[in-house]
Amino acid sequence: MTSARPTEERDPAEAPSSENPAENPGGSPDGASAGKAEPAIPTTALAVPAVILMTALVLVVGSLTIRAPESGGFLGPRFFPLTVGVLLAVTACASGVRAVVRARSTSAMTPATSTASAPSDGGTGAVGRGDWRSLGIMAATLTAHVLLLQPLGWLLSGTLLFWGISFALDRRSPLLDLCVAVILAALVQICFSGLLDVSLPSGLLGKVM
Amino acid sequence: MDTLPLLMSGFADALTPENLLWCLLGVVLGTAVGVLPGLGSSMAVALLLPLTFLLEPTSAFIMFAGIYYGGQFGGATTSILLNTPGQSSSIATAFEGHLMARGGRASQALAAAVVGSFVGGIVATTVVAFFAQRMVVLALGFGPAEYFALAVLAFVCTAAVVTSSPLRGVAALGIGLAISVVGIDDQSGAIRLTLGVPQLLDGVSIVVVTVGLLAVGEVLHTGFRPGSPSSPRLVASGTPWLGRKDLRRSWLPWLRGTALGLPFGVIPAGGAEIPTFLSYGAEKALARRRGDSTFGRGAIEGVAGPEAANNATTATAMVPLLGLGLPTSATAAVMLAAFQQYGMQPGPLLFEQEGDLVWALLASMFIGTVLLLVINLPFAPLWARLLRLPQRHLFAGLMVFATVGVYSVNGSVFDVVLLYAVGALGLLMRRYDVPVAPVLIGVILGPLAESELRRAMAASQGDVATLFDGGIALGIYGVLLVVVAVFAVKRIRDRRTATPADEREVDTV
Repeated sequence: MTSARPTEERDPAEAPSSENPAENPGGSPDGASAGKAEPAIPTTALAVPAVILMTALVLVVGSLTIRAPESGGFLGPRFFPLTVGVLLAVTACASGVRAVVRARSTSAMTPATSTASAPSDGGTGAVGRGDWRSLGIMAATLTAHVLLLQPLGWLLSGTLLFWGISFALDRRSPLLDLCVAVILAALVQICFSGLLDVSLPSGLLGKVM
Repeated sequence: MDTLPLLMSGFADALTPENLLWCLLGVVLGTAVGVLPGLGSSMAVALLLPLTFLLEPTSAFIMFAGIYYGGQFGGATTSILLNTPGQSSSIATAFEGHLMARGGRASQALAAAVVGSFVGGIVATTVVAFFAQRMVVLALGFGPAEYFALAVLAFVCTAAVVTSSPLRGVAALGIGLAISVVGIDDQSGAIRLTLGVPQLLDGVSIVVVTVGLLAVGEVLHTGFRPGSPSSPRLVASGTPWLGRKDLRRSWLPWLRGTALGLPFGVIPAGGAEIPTFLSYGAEKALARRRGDSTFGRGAIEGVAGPEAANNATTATAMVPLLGLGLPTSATAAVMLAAFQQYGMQPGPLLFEQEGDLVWALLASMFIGTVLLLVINLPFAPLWARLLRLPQRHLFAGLMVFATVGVYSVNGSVFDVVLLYAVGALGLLMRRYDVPVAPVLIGVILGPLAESELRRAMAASQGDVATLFDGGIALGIYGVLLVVVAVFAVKRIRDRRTATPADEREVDTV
């Protein structure tokens, strides 16, 4: 996962926990093992275990640093997150090992696995290549929307949001999309502030008008 | 147990013009999301969660129940006309239903599905109305230990049993529990896992998590999935209609499907997928034994049975939800979140304190089922036209509503950032077949599990035995063991018959 959005999601989780020296030795071998494993097995197989492990580390480190009041009762505020953290760490290791084992065994017998099929999903067996360009446009749109919502107001940033997502999904008729986007954003503004009495940011246009 | 008078007063509440309107809106919305592939009733209810603070609780739940039911009705339409089931519970319907449609019998297939849904829905709702209160009598003996046991049951069932891979299910559950911990601890006042972000002191809102995972995650996944969504080929259909011969072939499967579906809503075994396939298999076997099987060429029994089973399960899921606060499907979990938004905790107290709401909700489930029959039977082909809506606009619209909805709850841009971050998590999970439902269950029931556990331990001065003290708690753990054993046996048997490679591909959301 190297797109703008998921890294942004991880950053706040990583930054504060790395202040804590206890977390670092745990964090770096994980990254290294994922990097080393790249030629033999697809790194994507380790993406989920890595995310789980990171969550587990944040939980464990985070719950150890909780400042619990003395009168915390029998099981203080630390117990539950610590348990969940340990559970997640075990799960992460198990699924990581399993992913490696499975990747080894499938690389030994490549053609057999591709015939596997499931009735519920039309997609092919392996996790296919993703459309990074679409995702990139979406991520950029969402980032821009969040940044511009207050300064520009809902009407403009909402239009951008709708237009960006539909452009990411299908690039054929951007002008039509723009028209629909303007109309929808305006409708939402009218519905929410007029009928439901919720104020959306009016921003730039609000000041002009 | 004066159920009837209570139900009648519920009807009086539900039949006000305003509530009828919410019910109608719910079933129309529900049918629409059921028809559209990629959308489900859980996502629709999640998207409407932010609106709860604008609505009366009764109106909101009447609308949500309508969506829940409507989603099941609408799913059949796409399965039959298009062979693309809108949600996993209508996969079984697609097998024979689409064959019928291709053989020029689309109207009969639609009618069998709609009437089957109606029969299943009405019978099951009756069961719910009379059974939910019994459940409450049982639940009155619940203390902290029992509630903790119940939460554990829900955790194990959704995480380990229902999903294709227990490992992934547990991981998803853990992520949900981790999210539920963030914020100020209710009992001790300690600040937990906010990572120094002041906005996280109140915790991550359930609305943000459900909307992010179910709606934003789906939109991102649609864009990321290789291959653009092509417009599907629709089989034309006339107005649904059943001749006398079709009726004779359908009525028994409707009843059998209903009977099969009823128990599955009550146990937390993951929605309506299993009973629909059981019903399909049963009808197929019965037809073969009778010697007049048309399975494989478009058998009406293969549509009638699963659809009835589907709706029966959907309806009986209300029993554990209302009686115990135990969600047995993703949509039920989101509805539980809605109850929590109103500061209500489903369970015995709900019937005591919010009796009017519960009975109006139960009555509206009858009304909704009738309304669904009315709007689906004559107009099913019209609903199918919804599929002409350009998909990019549909998903862009989803993103807009998700954003506006979450923003409007607190008027905070930070919530929107969090929403998109959770959406990215949803994308990751969808891409690697990690089920989303356990996360929801973890976030929603996590706080309950933790506080009840701590309450029980505090009361017993740290004696673990208190958790297993009492018949009800032991009974729940017994049910848990039985469920786990049954599914473990099934998994082992499946693994023997299937190749190990295709085990990971069945996705359950």
